[in-house]
Amino acid sequence: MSALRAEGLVKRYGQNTVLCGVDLVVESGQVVCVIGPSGSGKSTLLRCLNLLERPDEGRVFLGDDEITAPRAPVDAMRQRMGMVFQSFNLFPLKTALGNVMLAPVKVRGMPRQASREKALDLLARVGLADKADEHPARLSGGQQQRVAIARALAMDPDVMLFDEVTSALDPELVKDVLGVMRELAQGGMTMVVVTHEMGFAREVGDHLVFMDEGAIVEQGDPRDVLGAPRQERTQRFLSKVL
Amino acid sequence: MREFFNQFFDFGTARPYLGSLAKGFWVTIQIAFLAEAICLALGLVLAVMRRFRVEPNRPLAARVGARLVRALAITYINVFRGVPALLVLLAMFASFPFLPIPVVQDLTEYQIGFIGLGVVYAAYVAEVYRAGIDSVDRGQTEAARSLGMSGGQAMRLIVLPQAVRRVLPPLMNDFIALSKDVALVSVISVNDVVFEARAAQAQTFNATSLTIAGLFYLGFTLPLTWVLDWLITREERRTTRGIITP
Repeated sequence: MSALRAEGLVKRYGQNTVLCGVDLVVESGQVVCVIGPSGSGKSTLLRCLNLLERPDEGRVFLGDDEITAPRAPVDAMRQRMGMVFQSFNLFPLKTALGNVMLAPVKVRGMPRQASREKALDLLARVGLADKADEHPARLSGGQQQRVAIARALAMDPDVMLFDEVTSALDPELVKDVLGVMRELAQGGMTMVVVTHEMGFAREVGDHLVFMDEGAIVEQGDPRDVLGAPRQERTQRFLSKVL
Repeated sequence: MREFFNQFFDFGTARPYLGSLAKGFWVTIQIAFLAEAICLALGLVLAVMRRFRVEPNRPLAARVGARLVRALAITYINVFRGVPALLVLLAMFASFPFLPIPVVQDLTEYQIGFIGLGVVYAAYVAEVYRAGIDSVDRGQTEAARSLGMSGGQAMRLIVLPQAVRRVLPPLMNDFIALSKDVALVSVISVNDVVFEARAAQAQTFNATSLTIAGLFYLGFTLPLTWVLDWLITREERRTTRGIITP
Protein backbone atom coordinates (compact mmCIF):
# COMPACT_ATOMS: atom_id res chain seq x y z
CA MET A 1 0.00 0.00 0.00
CA SER A 2 1.27 3.45 -0.86
CA ALA A 3 2.25 5.87 1.91
CA LEU A 4 0.81 8.86 0.09
CA ARG A 5 -1.36 9.05 -2.98
CA ALA A 6 -2.88 11.95 -4.91
CA GLU A 7 -5.56 11.45 -7.55
CA GLY A 8 -6.55 13.99 -10.17
CA LEU A 9 -5.52 17.11 -8.25
CA VAL A 10 -6.80 20.32 -9.78
CA LYS A 11 -6.04 23.74 -8.32
CA ARG A 12 -7.16 27.03 -9.78
CA TYR A 13 -6.54 30.61 -8.73
CA GLY A 14 -9.26 32.56 -10.49
CA GLN A 15 -8.79 32.01 -14.22
CA ASN A 16 -5.36 30.53 -13.67
CA THR A 17 -5.14 26.73 -13.44
CA VAL A 18 -1.96 25.78 -11.56
CA LEU A 19 -2.60 22.06 -11.29
CA CYS A 20 -4.54 20.31 -13.99
CA GLY A 21 -5.22 16.77 -12.85
CA VAL A 22 -2.08 15.51 -11.18
CA ASP A 23 -1.71 11.92 -9.96
CA LEU A 24 1.12 10.99 -7.65
CA VAL A 25 1.94 7.80 -5.79
CA VAL A 26 4.59 7.66 -3.09
CA GLU A 27 5.47 4.23 -1.76
CA SER A 28 6.50 3.76 1.83
CA GLY A 29 10.23 4.46 2.26
CA GLN A 30 10.46 6.02 -1.16
CA VAL A 31 12.09 9.37 -1.95
CA VAL A 32 10.17 11.12 -4.70
CA CYS A 33 11.79 14.23 -6.14
CA VAL A 34 9.72 16.77 -8.05
CA ILE A 35 11.50 19.07 -10.49
CA GLY A 36 10.32 21.57 -13.05
CA PRO A 37 10.54 25.22 -14.06
CA SER A 38 9.24 27.84 -11.66
CA GLY A 39 5.50 28.23 -11.95
CA SER A 40 5.09 24.62 -13.01
CA GLY A 41 2.92 23.89 -9.97
CA LYS A 42 5.34 21.68 -8.05
CA SER A 43 5.11 23.68 -4.80
CA THR A 44 1.34 23.88 -5.13
CA LEU A 45 1.24 20.11 -5.58
CA LEU A 46 3.24 19.66 -2.39
CA ARG A 47 1.04 22.11 -0.48
CA CYS A 48 -2.07 20.30 -1.66
CA LEU A 49 -0.76 17.08 -0.13
CA ASN A 50 -1.14 18.39 3.45
CA LEU A 51 -3.95 20.78 2.53
CA LEU A 52 -2.08 24.01 3.12
CA GLU A 53 -3.74 24.61 -0.22
CA ARG A 54 -7.10 22.96 -0.71
CA PRO A 55 -7.34 21.40 -4.17
CA ASP A 56 -10.47 22.27 -6.15
CA GLU A 57 -10.75 18.72 -7.39
CA GLY A 58 -9.08 15.42 -6.67
CA ARG A 59 -8.30 13.38 -3.60
CA VAL A 60 -5.29 12.85 -1.35
CA PHE A 61 -4.76 9.69 0.69
CA LEU A 62 -2.33 9.29 3.53
CA GLY A 63 -2.05 5.53 3.86
CA ASP A 64 -5.69 4.41 3.94
CA ASP A 65 -7.10 7.70 5.13
CA GLU A 66 -8.39 10.38 2.81
CA ILE A 67 -7.36 13.85 4.00
CA THR A 68 -9.59 15.49 1.39
CA ALA A 69 -12.69 13.68 2.72
CA PRO A 70 -15.48 16.06 3.80
CA ARG A 71 -15.10 15.49 7.56
CA ALA A 72 -11.47 14.37 7.61
CA PRO A 73 -9.58 15.18 10.84
CA VAL A 74 -7.14 17.39 8.96
CA ASP A 75 -5.17 18.63 11.98
CA ALA A 76 -4.58 15.10 13.23
CA MET A 77 -3.58 13.92 9.76
CA ARG A 78 -1.13 16.79 9.29
CA GLN A 79 0.73 15.51 12.34
CA ARG A 80 1.65 12.49 10.24
CA MET A 81 3.14 14.69 7.49
CA GLY A 82 6.12 16.83 8.35
CA MET A 83 6.80 19.83 6.16
CA VAL A 84 9.91 21.92 5.63
CA PHE A 85 9.63 25.28 3.89
CA GLN A 86 11.86 27.29 1.59
CA SER A 87 11.81 30.22 4.03
CA PHE A 88 12.36 28.02 7.16
CA ASN A 89 9.43 29.60 9.05
CA LEU A 90 10.97 28.96 12.44
CA PHE A 91 9.15 30.54 15.36
CA PRO A 92 11.30 33.62 16.09
CA LEU A 93 10.42 34.02 19.78
CA LYS A 94 11.47 30.47 20.63
CA THR A 95 14.91 28.94 20.84
CA ALA A 96 15.96 26.13 18.52
CA LEU A 97 15.01 23.71 21.30
CA GLY A 98 11.70 25.52 21.88
CA ASN A 99 10.87 25.27 18.18
CA VAL A 100 11.41 21.51 18.18
CA MET A 101 9.62 20.86 21.49
CA LEU A 102 6.54 22.98 20.89
CA ALA A 103 4.33 20.74 18.76
CA PRO A 104 4.98 17.50 20.68
CA VAL A 105 4.06 19.26 23.94
CA LYS A 106 1.12 21.37 22.76
CA VAL A 107 -0.36 19.16 20.06
CA ARG A 108 0.45 15.70 21.29
CA GLY A 109 0.49 16.43 25.02
CA MET A 110 3.93 14.89 25.48
CA PRO A 111 5.50 15.58 28.91
CA ARG A 112 7.99 18.47 28.75
CA GLN A 113 10.96 16.47 30.01
CA ALA A 114 10.50 13.66 27.50
CA SER A 115 9.93 16.14 24.72
CA ARG A 116 13.07 18.03 25.70
CA GLU A 117 15.21 14.91 25.56
CA LYS A 118 13.76 13.98 22.22
CA ALA A 119 14.29 17.49 20.84
CA LEU A 120 17.93 17.48 21.99
CA ASP A 121 18.41 14.11 20.28
CA LEU A 122 16.96 15.46 17.06
CA LEU A 123 19.07 18.61 17.20
CA ALA A 124 22.13 16.44 17.69
CA ARG A 125 21.06 14.38 14.71
CA VAL A 126 20.99 17.47 12.48
CA GLY A 127 24.35 18.57 13.91
CA LEU A 128 23.08 21.41 16.08
CA ALA A 129 23.35 20.09 19.63
CA ASP A 130 25.34 23.17 20.61
CA LYS A 131 22.75 25.59 19.22
CA ALA A 132 19.78 24.35 21.27
CA ASP A 133 19.44 27.58 23.26
CA GLU A 134 19.96 30.01 20.37
CA HIS A 135 17.10 31.94 18.83
CA PRO A 136 16.60 31.57 15.06
CA ALA A 137 17.82 35.12 14.38
CA ARG A 138 21.27 34.08 15.61
CA LEU A 139 21.49 31.02 13.36
CA SER A 140 22.64 30.86 9.75
CA GLY A 141 20.13 29.91 7.08
CA GLY A 142 21.52 26.40 6.88
CA GLN A 143 21.28 26.00 10.63
CA GLN A 144 17.74 27.36 10.68
CA GLN A 145 16.71 24.93 7.99
CA ARG A 146 18.16 22.01 9.91
CA VAL A 147 16.26 23.13 13.02
CA ALA A 148 13.14 23.22 10.84
CA ILE A 149 13.79 19.62 9.76
CA ALA A 150 14.25 18.58 13.41
CA ARG A 151 11.01 20.40 14.29
CA ALA A 152 9.08 18.45 11.66
CA LEU A 153 10.69 15.15 12.69
CA ALA A 154 9.69 15.72 16.33
CA MET A 155 6.12 14.72 15.45
CA ASP A 156 7.32 11.32 14.14
CA PRO A 157 5.73 11.83 10.73
CA ASP A 158 5.09 9.00 8.27
CA VAL A 159 5.99 11.29 5.38
CA MET A 160 8.20 14.35 5.06
CA LEU A 161 7.46 17.09 2.52
CA PHE A 162 10.32 19.36 1.45
CA ASP A 163 9.44 22.55 -0.43
CA GLU A 164 12.58 23.86 -2.17
CA VAL A 165 14.33 23.80 1.17
CA THR A 166 17.76 24.83 -0.14
CA SER A 167 16.64 27.56 -2.55
CA ALA A 168 17.03 30.37 0.00
CA LEU A 169 20.44 29.22 1.19
CA ASP A 170 23.93 30.36 0.33
CA PRO A 171 25.69 27.68 -1.77
CA GLU A 172 28.11 26.66 0.98
CA LEU A 173 25.22 26.00 3.39
CA VAL A 174 23.27 23.80 1.00
CA LYS A 175 25.50 20.79 1.57
CA ASP A 176 24.73 20.48 5.30
CA VAL A 177 20.99 20.54 4.71
CA LEU A 178 21.17 18.03 1.85
CA GLY A 179 23.38 15.86 4.06
CA VAL A 180 20.68 15.73 6.72
CA MET A 181 18.06 14.87 4.10
CA ARG A 182 20.30 12.17 2.66
CA GLU A 183 20.65 10.55 6.09
CA LEU A 184 16.90 10.72 6.57
CA ALA A 185 16.37 8.99 3.24
CA GLN A 186 18.89 6.31 4.12
CA GLY A 187 17.04 5.79 7.39
CA GLY A 188 13.97 4.82 5.38
CA MET A 189 11.91 8.01 5.66
CA THR A 190 9.24 8.48 3.03
CA MET A 191 9.93 11.82 1.38
CA VAL A 192 8.51 14.11 -1.28
CA VAL A 193 11.16 16.62 -2.28
CA VAL A 194 10.45 19.60 -4.49
CA THR A 195 13.91 20.69 -5.50
CA HIS A 196 16.28 22.30 -7.96
CA GLU A 197 19.16 20.12 -6.76
CA MET A 198 19.56 17.70 -9.66
CA GLY A 199 22.52 16.00 -7.99
CA PHE A 200 20.40 15.20 -4.94
CA ALA A 201 17.55 13.98 -7.12
CA ARG A 202 19.88 11.66 -8.99
CA GLU A 203 21.76 10.25 -6.04
CA VAL A 204 19.10 10.10 -3.32
CA GLY A 205 15.81 10.04 -5.23
CA ASP A 206 14.08 6.73 -5.94
CA HIS A 207 11.63 8.31 -8.32
CA LEU A 208 11.72 11.55 -10.26
CA VAL A 209 8.75 13.59 -11.42
CA PHE A 210 9.13 16.36 -13.97
CA MET A 211 6.31 18.90 -13.97
CA ASP A 212 5.48 21.68 -16.38
CA GLU A 213 2.41 23.90 -16.66
CA GLY A 214 0.54 22.15 -13.86
CA ALA A 215 0.94 18.63 -15.14
CA ILE A 216 3.38 15.75 -14.81
CA VAL A 217 5.21 15.57 -18.11
CA GLU A 218 7.53 12.68 -17.40
CA GLN A 219 8.44 10.46 -14.47
CA GLY A 220 10.53 7.43 -13.69
CA ASP A 221 13.91 6.40 -12.34
CA PRO A 222 15.92 9.59 -11.73
CA ARG A 223 18.89 8.30 -13.73
CA ASP A 224 16.67 7.60 -16.74
CA VAL A 225 14.76 10.87 -16.62
CA LEU A 226 17.87 12.97 -16.04
CA GLY A 227 20.13 10.92 -18.32
CA ALA A 228 17.83 10.24 -21.21
CA PRO A 229 14.68 12.37 -21.02
CA ARG A 230 12.08 11.26 -23.53
CA GLN A 231 9.87 14.32 -23.60
CA GLU A 232 10.93 17.40 -25.48
CA ARG A 233 9.92 19.71 -22.60
CA THR A 234 12.01 17.71 -20.14
CA GLN A 235 14.98 17.89 -22.46
CA ARG A 236 14.60 21.62 -22.87
CA PHE A 237 14.35 22.17 -19.08
CA LEU A 238 17.30 19.92 -18.28
CA SER A 239 19.49 21.53 -20.95
CA LYS A 240 18.96 24.81 -19.13
CA VAL A 241 19.69 23.62 -15.59
CA LEU A 242 22.35 20.93 -15.99
CA MET B 1 -0.21 91.36 31.43
CA ARG B 2 -0.18 90.69 35.14
CA GLU B 3 -3.88 89.78 35.14
CA PHE B 4 -3.25 87.48 32.24
CA PHE B 5 -0.45 85.76 34.14
CA ASN B 6 -2.44 85.57 37.38
CA GLN B 7 -5.40 83.98 35.67
CA PHE B 8 -3.33 80.86 34.96
CA PHE B 9 -0.47 80.90 37.43
CA ASP B 10 -1.85 82.21 40.72
CA PHE B 11 -0.74 79.27 42.81
CA GLY B 12 -1.55 81.09 46.04
CA THR B 13 -5.25 81.12 45.20
CA ALA B 14 -5.23 77.52 43.99
CA ARG B 15 -3.28 76.18 46.97
CA PRO B 16 -6.29 75.19 49.14
CA TYR B 17 -7.60 73.07 46.29
CA LEU B 18 -4.39 71.12 45.75
CA GLY B 19 -5.59 68.23 47.92
CA SER B 20 -8.86 67.77 46.07
CA LEU B 21 -7.07 68.08 42.73
CA ALA B 22 -4.61 65.36 43.73
CA LYS B 23 -7.49 63.16 44.86
CA GLY B 24 -9.20 63.85 41.54
CA PHE B 25 -6.10 62.86 39.62
CA TRP B 26 -5.90 59.62 41.56
CA VAL B 27 -9.44 58.90 40.30
CA THR B 28 -8.30 59.77 36.76
CA ILE B 29 -5.40 57.33 36.99
CA GLN B 30 -7.62 54.55 38.35
CA ILE B 31 -10.15 55.01 35.56
CA ALA B 32 -7.38 55.12 32.94
CA PHE B 33 -5.91 51.81 34.06
CA LEU B 34 -9.27 50.07 34.57
CA ALA B 35 -10.48 51.23 31.14
CA GLU B 36 -7.16 50.15 29.60
CA ALA B 37 -7.50 46.68 31.11
CA ILE B 38 -10.99 46.37 29.62
CA CYS B 39 -10.00 47.62 26.17
CA LEU B 40 -6.86 45.47 25.99
CA ALA B 41 -8.85 42.32 26.77
CA LEU B 42 -11.97 43.16 24.76
CA GLY B 43 -9.91 44.51 21.86
CA LEU B 44 -7.97 41.26 21.63
CA VAL B 45 -11.20 39.25 21.58
CA LEU B 46 -12.60 41.51 18.85
CA ALA B 47 -9.44 41.29 16.74
CA VAL B 48 -9.39 37.50 16.92
CA MET B 49 -13.13 37.43 16.13
CA ARG B 50 -12.50 39.62 13.09
CA ARG B 51 -9.93 37.12 11.83
CA PHE B 52 -11.98 34.03 12.75
CA ARG B 53 -12.12 31.36 10.06
CA VAL B 54 -13.03 27.70 9.91
CA GLU B 55 -11.75 25.07 7.50
CA PRO B 56 -13.64 25.02 4.18
CA ASN B 57 -14.48 21.35 4.72
CA ARG B 58 -16.51 22.12 7.86
CA PRO B 59 -20.31 21.95 7.73
CA LEU B 60 -22.22 24.93 6.35
CA ALA B 61 -23.47 25.92 9.80
CA ALA B 62 -19.91 26.33 11.07
CA ARG B 63 -18.94 28.46 8.10
CA VAL B 64 -22.01 30.67 8.46
CA GLY B 65 -21.29 30.91 12.19
CA ALA B 66 -17.74 32.08 11.49
CA ARG B 67 -19.05 34.72 9.12
CA LEU B 68 -21.48 35.95 11.79
CA VAL B 69 -18.67 36.16 14.34
CA ARG B 70 -16.65 38.30 11.93
CA ALA B 71 -19.66 40.49 11.09
CA LEU B 72 -20.33 41.03 14.79
CA ALA B 73 -16.77 42.16 15.44
CA ILE B 74 -16.73 44.46 12.40
CA THR B 75 -20.03 46.05 13.41
CA TYR B 76 -18.83 46.64 16.96
CA ILE B 77 -15.55 48.17 15.78
CA ASN B 78 -17.16 50.44 13.20
CA VAL B 79 -19.91 51.65 15.54
CA PHE B 80 -17.67 52.47 18.49
CA ARG B 81 -14.99 54.07 16.34
CA GLY B 82 -17.65 56.14 14.63
CA VAL B 83 -19.42 57.75 17.59
CA PRO B 84 -17.97 60.19 20.15
CA ALA B 85 -16.86 58.64 23.44
CA LEU B 86 -18.70 61.44 25.23
CA LEU B 87 -21.96 60.41 23.61
CA VAL B 88 -21.47 56.80 24.71
CA LEU B 89 -20.74 57.88 28.28
CA LEU B 90 -23.78 60.15 28.35
CA ALA B 91 -26.04 57.46 26.91
CA MET B 92 -24.87 54.92 29.51
CA PHE B 93 -25.10 57.46 32.33
CA ALA B 94 -28.58 58.52 31.33
CA SER B 95 -30.07 55.09 30.71
CA PHE B 96 -28.44 52.52 32.97
CA PRO B 97 -30.26 53.45 36.21
CA PHE B 98 -33.57 52.89 34.44
CA LEU B 99 -32.75 49.55 32.85
CA PRO B 100 -34.34 46.50 34.49
CA ILE B 101 -31.00 44.65 34.43
CA PRO B 102 -29.73 43.74 37.92
CA VAL B 103 -26.04 44.63 37.78
CA VAL B 104 -26.27 47.31 35.11
CA GLN B 105 -28.83 49.48 36.92
CA ASP B 106 -26.66 49.61 40.03
CA LEU B 107 -23.47 50.79 38.29
CA THR B 108 -21.99 53.96 39.76
CA GLU B 109 -20.84 56.91 37.62
CA TYR B 110 -17.28 55.88 38.35
CA GLN B 111 -17.92 52.35 37.06
CA ILE B 112 -19.82 53.63 34.03
CA GLY B 113 -16.86 55.91 33.36
CA PHE B 114 -14.22 53.21 33.04
CA ILE B 115 -16.52 50.67 31.42
CA GLY B 116 -17.67 53.22 28.83
CA LEU B 117 -14.15 54.29 27.95
CA GLY B 118 -12.98 50.67 27.87
CA VAL B 119 -15.81 49.71 25.54
CA VAL B 120 -15.08 52.61 23.16
CA TYR B 121 -11.31 52.18 23.13
CA ALA B 122 -11.64 48.42 22.59
CA ALA B 123 -12.66 49.28 19.03
CA TYR B 124 -9.42 51.20 18.39
CA VAL B 125 -7.28 48.64 20.18
CA ALA B 126 -8.92 45.81 18.20
CA GLU B 127 -7.72 47.43 14.98
CA VAL B 128 -4.21 47.80 16.39
CA TYR B 129 -4.15 44.11 17.30
CA ARG B 130 -5.53 43.24 13.89
CA ALA B 131 -2.74 45.14 12.16
CA GLY B 132 -0.30 43.19 14.33
CA ILE B 133 -1.92 39.86 13.48
CA ASP B 134 -1.84 40.69 9.77
CA SER B 135 1.83 41.71 9.97
CA VAL B 136 2.91 38.24 11.07
CA ASP B 137 4.16 36.28 8.08
CA ARG B 138 1.73 33.68 6.69
CA GLY B 139 4.54 31.16 6.83
CA GLN B 140 4.32 31.21 10.63
CA THR B 141 0.73 29.99 10.54
CA GLU B 142 1.55 27.49 7.81
CA ALA B 143 4.46 26.06 9.81
CA ALA B 144 2.25 25.78 12.89
CA ARG B 145 -0.60 24.13 10.97
CA SER B 146 1.81 21.75 9.20
CA LEU B 147 2.81 20.48 12.65
CA GLY B 148 -0.81 19.59 13.37
CA MET B 149 -1.82 22.65 15.39
CA SER B 150 -5.43 23.78 15.08
CA GLY B 151 -6.15 27.26 13.77
CA GLY B 152 -6.78 28.41 17.34
CA GLN B 153 -3.52 26.97 18.62
CA ALA B 154 -1.56 28.57 15.78
CA MET B 155 -3.17 31.92 16.58
CA ARG B 156 -2.64 31.66 20.35
CA LEU B 157 0.80 30.06 20.48
CA ILE B 158 2.50 31.47 17.40
CA VAL B 159 0.78 34.49 15.85
CA LEU B 160 -0.51 36.49 18.84
CA PRO B 161 2.76 36.57 20.83
CA GLN B 162 4.55 38.03 17.79
CA ALA B 163 1.67 40.35 16.92
CA VAL B 164 1.35 41.84 20.41
CA ARG B 165 5.08 42.45 20.64
CA ARG B 166 5.02 44.35 17.39
CA VAL B 167 2.08 46.57 18.30
CA LEU B 168 3.27 47.61 21.77
CA PRO B 169 4.13 51.15 20.55
CA PRO B 170 0.70 51.84 18.97
CA LEU B 171 -1.00 50.25 22.01
CA MET B 172 0.94 52.64 24.20
CA ASN B 173 -0.13 55.48 21.96
CA ASP B 174 -3.77 54.52 22.41
CA PHE B 175 -3.25 54.31 26.16
CA ILE B 176 -2.02 57.91 26.19
CA ALA B 177 -5.05 58.98 24.15
CA LEU B 178 -7.32 57.04 26.49
CA SER B 179 -5.85 58.57 29.62
CA LYS B 180 -6.58 62.03 28.25
CA ASP B 181 -10.15 61.05 27.34
CA VAL B 182 -10.71 60.16 31.00
CA ALA B 183 -11.43 63.90 31.29
CA LEU B 184 -14.79 63.13 29.64
CA VAL B 185 -16.06 61.37 32.76
CA SER B 186 -16.22 64.74 34.53
CA VAL B 187 -19.34 65.35 32.45
CA ILE B 188 -21.13 62.39 34.04
CA SER B 189 -20.22 63.79 37.46
CA VAL B 190 -17.29 61.57 38.29
CA ASN B 191 -14.94 63.60 40.47
CA ASP B 192 -11.82 63.19 38.37
CA VAL B 193 -9.14 65.88 38.17
CA VAL B 194 -11.01 67.89 35.54
CA PHE B 195 -14.18 67.81 37.63
CA GLU B 196 -12.27 69.05 40.68
CA ALA B 197 -10.43 71.70 38.67
CA ARG B 198 -13.67 73.08 37.29
CA ALA B 199 -15.19 73.13 40.76
CA ALA B 200 -12.20 75.09 42.09
CA GLN B 201 -12.27 77.44 39.13
CA ALA B 202 -15.97 78.13 39.66
CA GLN B 203 -15.29 79.17 43.26
CA THR B 204 -12.18 81.29 42.65
CA PHE B 205 -12.87 82.61 39.14
CA ASN B 206 -9.26 81.71 38.50
CA ALA B 207 -8.02 79.11 36.01
CA THR B 208 -4.89 78.09 37.91
CA SER B 209 -6.65 74.92 39.10
CA LEU B 210 -7.04 73.96 35.43
CA THR B 211 -3.33 74.64 34.89
CA ILE B 212 -2.55 72.34 37.79
CA ALA B 213 -4.80 69.65 36.31
CA GLY B 214 -2.83 70.01 33.08
CA LEU B 215 0.46 69.69 34.95
CA PHE B 216 -0.80 66.54 36.66
CA TYR B 217 -1.64 65.16 33.23
CA LEU B 218 1.75 66.02 31.80
CA GLY B 219 3.43 64.40 34.79
CA PHE B 220 1.66 61.22 33.76
CA THR B 221 1.65 61.34 29.94
CA LEU B 222 5.20 62.63 29.37
CA PRO B 223 6.85 59.58 31.01
CA LEU B 224 4.47 57.40 28.98
CA THR B 225 5.65 59.18 25.83
CA TRP B 226 9.24 58.49 26.78
CA VAL B 227 8.46 54.82 27.29
CA LEU B 228 6.78 54.88 23.89
CA ASP B 229 9.84 56.41 22.21
CA TRP B 230 12.03 53.85 23.92
CA LEU B 231 9.78 51.02 22.68
CA ILE B 232 9.99 52.36 19.14
CA THR B 233 13.79 52.67 19.13
CA ARG B 234 14.09 49.21 20.61
CA GLU B 235 11.86 47.83 17.87
CA GLU B 236 13.91 49.65 15.22
CA ARG B 237 17.13 48.30 16.62
CA ARG B 238 15.68 44.83 16.57
CA THR B 239 14.41 44.97 13.00
CA THR B 240 17.09 47.02 11.23
CA ARG B 241 20.29 45.30 10.39
CA GLY B 242 23.69 46.82 9.81
CA ILE B 243 25.89 49.24 11.62
CA ILE B 244 24.32 52.47 10.47
CA THR B 245 21.85 53.65 13.07
CA PRO B 246 20.09 56.99 12.88
